[in-house]
Amino acid sequence: MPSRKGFLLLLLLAAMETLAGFAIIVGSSLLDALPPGYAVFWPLLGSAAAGLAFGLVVARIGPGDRWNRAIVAVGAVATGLGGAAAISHNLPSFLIAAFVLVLLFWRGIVITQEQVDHDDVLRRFGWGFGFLFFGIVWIVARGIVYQRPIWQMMALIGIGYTIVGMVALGTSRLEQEREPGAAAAAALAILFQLALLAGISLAVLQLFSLDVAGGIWHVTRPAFDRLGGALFQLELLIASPIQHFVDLIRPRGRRLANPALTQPANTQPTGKKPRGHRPLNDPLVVGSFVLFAVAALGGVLWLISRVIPRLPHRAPNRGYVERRRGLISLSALWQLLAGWIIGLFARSGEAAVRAVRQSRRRIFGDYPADPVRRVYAQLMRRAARAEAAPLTATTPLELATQLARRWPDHATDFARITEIYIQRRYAEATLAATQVAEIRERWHTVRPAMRPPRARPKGPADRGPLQESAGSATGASGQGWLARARAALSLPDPTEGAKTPGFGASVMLSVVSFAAPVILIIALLVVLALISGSFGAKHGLPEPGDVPLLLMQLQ
Amino acid sequence: MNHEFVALIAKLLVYILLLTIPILVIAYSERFQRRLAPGQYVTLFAIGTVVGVLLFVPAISIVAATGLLAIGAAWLSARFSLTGLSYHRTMLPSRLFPGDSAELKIRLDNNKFLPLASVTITDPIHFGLIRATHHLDDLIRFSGGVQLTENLGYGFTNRTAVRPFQSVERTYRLEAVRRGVYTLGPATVETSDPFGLFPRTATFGDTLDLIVYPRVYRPEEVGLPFLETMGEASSRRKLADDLTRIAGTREYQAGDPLNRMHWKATARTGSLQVRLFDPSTTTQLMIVLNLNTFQHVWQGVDLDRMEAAIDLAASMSLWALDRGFAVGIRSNGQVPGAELTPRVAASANPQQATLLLEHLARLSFSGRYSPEHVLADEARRVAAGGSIMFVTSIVTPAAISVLTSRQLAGRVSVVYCGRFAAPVVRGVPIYLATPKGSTDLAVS
Repeated sequence: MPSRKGFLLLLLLAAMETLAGFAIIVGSSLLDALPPGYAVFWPLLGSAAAGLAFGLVVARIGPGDRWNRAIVAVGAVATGLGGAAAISHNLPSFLIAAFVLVLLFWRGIVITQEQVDHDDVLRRFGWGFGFLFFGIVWIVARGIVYQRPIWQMMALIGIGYTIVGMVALGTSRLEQEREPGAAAAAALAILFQLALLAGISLAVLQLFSLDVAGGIWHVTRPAFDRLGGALFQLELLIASPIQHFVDLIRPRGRRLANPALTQPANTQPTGKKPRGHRPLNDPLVVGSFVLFAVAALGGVLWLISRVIPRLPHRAPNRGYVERRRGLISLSALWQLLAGWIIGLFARSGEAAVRAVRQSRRRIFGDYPADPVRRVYAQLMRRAARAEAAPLTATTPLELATQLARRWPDHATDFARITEIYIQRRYAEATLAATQVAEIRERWHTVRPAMRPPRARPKGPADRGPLQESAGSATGASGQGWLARARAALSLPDPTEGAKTPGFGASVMLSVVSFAAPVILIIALLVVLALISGSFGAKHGLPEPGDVPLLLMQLQ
Repeated sequence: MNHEFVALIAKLLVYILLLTIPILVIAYSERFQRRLAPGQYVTLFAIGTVVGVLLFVPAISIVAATGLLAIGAAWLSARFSLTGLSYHRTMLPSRLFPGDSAELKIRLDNNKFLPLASVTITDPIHFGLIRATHHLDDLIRFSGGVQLTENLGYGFTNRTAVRPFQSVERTYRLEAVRRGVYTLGPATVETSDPFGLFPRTATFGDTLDLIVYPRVYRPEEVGLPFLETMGEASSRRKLADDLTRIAGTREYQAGDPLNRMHWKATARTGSLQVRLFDPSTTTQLMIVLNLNTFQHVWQGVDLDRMEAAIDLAASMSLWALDRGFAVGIRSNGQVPGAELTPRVAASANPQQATLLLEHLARLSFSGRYSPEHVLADEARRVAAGGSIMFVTSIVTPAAISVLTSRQLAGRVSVVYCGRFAAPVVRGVPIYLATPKGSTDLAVS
């Protein structure tokens, strides 16, 4: 007897043979003589499977070659005649049905007599396609190719044959014995491609006016209805004791029927508040209830799965110990997500921190308490930002000279500030209030002049982005708007000694970079909500409050 | 049975005869049992698609396009099947003595979204030595995975399937049986699309050497007093000490000269200590190994005798190195990659033992060089104070004439491990060695 893989492969080959033969039957006029019409495919498939099973059983327990042939012949006749009698209503259809059934039975027998490998499956795959195209050519020759049911059926046969053939090709390459993880990997690899193939092919067929989706829905709806009903009964089974328990502990909140059904039409409002309350109408309670039911159901299933005895797993000795592990773990994915979110907000965070620092220094300052030294520290800081003079290894008098050279209009102010500072700093003299007031006044005089220049230079390079993008990305200053935009938005690179953005830029940067991800996330949530809402409305899904109502009606 | 029915039957028979039967004959006769290549499928499906479009027959186009899509998807998956695939193998330890075991780990990583339904990794197993057997199990035993390759060699083969972003690691056990260098790789990785239409092959990784050293015997295991086989070399070993190279100290013994007292060590330990010095010269011992096992090369080689000679050479060289001799090896065999007869110069370096063992592990029978030629050459090259030990499984008349020559007088000793009785040669000490496990040992 063949292995599981071998048996699956034989079944797939039988299906391939049946599909190819069915294409010939559809292409010829034989189908017109068979009462079931297209449904005759299933008896044909059954006949091929019967031949397959017969061949396998007889080869295993048959008494001998001659007797085996006789047994197979009897089986073929029985299958052909029995099947033909079941699906035909007159003699011609009986004969034709018997012929095609016996033919498929014979093909099933033939499949079992050959050693099937990948090359053999590939060869059969090609020949099957030959039969398919032959059937189509026959249809063309008969001049009925433009009849929609005919070509749609041929297309469906072709798609089905391709999928079955590819599954057979993939199966023929599988090893007889595989490690626990290998079978899943192989199945995933095959199914991934076949799902893609089936999806695209059926979509194309749908495009060519065959309502595949509607047909599938129509065919599978009874099954889904039954499944939904069974699940609902299961849910009732779990929910009923809980409901009774709730009724017990809340005697006043007993179960209420649907007011629309129980309230008489002529009932007049009394103006009183209804006694008791209906907690099950609360979406929160209903949501909690559903969650609890799901958790309880999951717990019960888990317990059942735990207590079911298992056969000991006997791994064959292959001479090695195998270990499989994922290269991407769940924790790594979480870290990736967290890193992405942190990266989204990192720029805004740094900009916000910088803005806070600048504003803190501006408002409170980290300057000396002494008013004279405080003014001089502010002067030095402003001089540093304006790059007026190197502050290291520079005496106050040298600094005053350099500042006077930079801002000659305020040379006197600088000289006077420096003089007062030297008295306070180095002579440690106690200054009069007038001197303190003077140094403050002079500082307020020179401070506007020492304001650092704006980052954006005036001139042709200061044109707007749209104006400049019409030409090239490089402006007259040699730095394109793209580069300037990058420079304005990107954080300073300490290795290149870039300037830190100003207070306003920092605030704007933090607001923008905080707002962008937040807006993105909110937009995503809104889109999801819209999609789910429209989906629910389209398919008539019950609102959360309707669930207890349905429960009450059923009870 | 009316006329219409007969006409229908007749028409049916004509259909069957004219169309179905020839097709079945063509399809299932041996002459046409040939499979199409994927490229031919692509051509046929492309033609079918175009013909369907031109004839406004959607059925042809859909069926052909479905086949084209299936083959295209298969081609794409085969195209990227080797992307993100990496293969590693490690062996611990990679140096073994016969009877030792090692752990061989292979790891295959699939760093992409595409799963692989079938991956076959074949590491060819190379062993370039002349062997008495073609069975790998007689040389080295793998716990699994060894298969015969198409060129009748051996391959370490692993077949598996890998999911997206999955790593498969397998651990094998190896047992060293015989001396030699066994090289795994480079690996040939074969994969394809899930349906096997477009096979892809690539060579992965480097080679991995497993070195199995010769068997090392203790003197009592071979019935050979190693010290005696050294002859005068053992007595010449320490002629004078090098007073500039202090090797250590020891307790004073009566008779030690006072100029060797180590006063600082004496004060520190509270007992009399004397200095120990390294010898000023190290006695050289050159082991000349004869891999010939018969008088004439055309008589072939007795591999058991040859292995016994190599084992003896390894045992004696390690023993001598352990006792401070500078040991070298010269043989008339061959080492892959070397042009001339391989020679390891004598040295007392701590790494010399490893060097000699690896050299002996790689050594193979050559037959191109006569042992007499090698022996005479070494008599010329070894310094006057050095000794030569001739390890052989056969003593031929030509070898006797070289051994008794004036150049080798008093400097050579012979260790014999042959099957037959050793000849008695006047003036040349010949020692019999009987390695454990050898059959048909020499008698004398």
